[in-house]
Amino acid sequence: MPYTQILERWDAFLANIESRFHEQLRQAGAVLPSLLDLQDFNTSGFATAWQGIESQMKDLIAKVDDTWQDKVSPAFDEIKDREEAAIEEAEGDLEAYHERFYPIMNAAQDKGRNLQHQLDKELHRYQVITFAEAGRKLSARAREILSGGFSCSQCKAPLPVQQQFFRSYYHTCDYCQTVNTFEPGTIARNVEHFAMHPLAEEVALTEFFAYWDIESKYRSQRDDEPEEVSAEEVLALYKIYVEKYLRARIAIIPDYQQQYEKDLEGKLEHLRKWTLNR
Amino acid sequence: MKPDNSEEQPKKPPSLQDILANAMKSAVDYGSTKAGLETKTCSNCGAARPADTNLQFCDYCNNPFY
Repeated sequence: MPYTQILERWDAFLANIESRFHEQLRQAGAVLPSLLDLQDFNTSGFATAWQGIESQMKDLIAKVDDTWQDKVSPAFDEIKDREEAAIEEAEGDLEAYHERFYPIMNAAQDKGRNLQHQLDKELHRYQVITFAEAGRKLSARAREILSGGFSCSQCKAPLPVQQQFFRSYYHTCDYCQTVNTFEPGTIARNVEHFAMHPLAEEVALTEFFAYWDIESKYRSQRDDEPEEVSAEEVLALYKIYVEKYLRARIAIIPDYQQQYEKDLEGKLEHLRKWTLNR
Repeated sequence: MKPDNSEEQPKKPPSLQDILANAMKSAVDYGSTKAGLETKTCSNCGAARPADTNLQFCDYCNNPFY
């Protein structure tokens, strides 16, 4: 088979990309979580480091498509042109040749696309788990802070504060009836701004990937072929994911219960309008 | 004749160490606030704000809070 060499090189290239991807993420995973400790829970350095790592990983994933376009596809075309010319000269059956050729080429391209899809998913999973891990560290520190012995600024009577509310609020002292203003501080505030989202995403990760897969299938459908996945099916799986995500947020900050219906409807509408174009 | 070096070599991606060092160096410190309780007191008589009142006027001497 004239394609054997191309296919072997393509397989070796894909295996190399996959191995580099895992090795780089493994190295990053060994040091990223410690950044928060090193910077006294300042989340800015952590987020910047992740941007750099994510950008490198995405470049690596993009190499699959780039290499297909620049090297592999032209190599297939070169063989095809040569073989077509030989068949024409011998007055052979071109259609029969194409029936053999295209499945081989398409299978090779699908192999690359499947790897890209798999690595995209792994990168997303890694991001959620890494941020959730950092979020857990931050939440643990916030719990320590909020369970500290706070007392009324006027009479010094003990004034325990809410453990699952991370904004400033008024708090009246039971003893002297003075209104105190409680400031949770930057670390506790960051439970809402930094930790809550990935922790809730982690809880709903399985449901998110079920949606991700079907949404990817929905987008890759061709207009001239019968529809295999409908917008309603995408929306139904997205709803399952969002419901679980929003419930997980409420478990972290119960105050979010008040806006549950609005959040759910807002997210569904966003998907309808911007992803499904309905 | 000198060799033509004008063609740029592809840029090597930064190593993990470079990325982390850059993240540490460029981390922005927006200033942190510590957790705590405070009470708004009247600038005239020094009274604290009692429960069920607003921050318009002092409940004791009627002085505007702001």
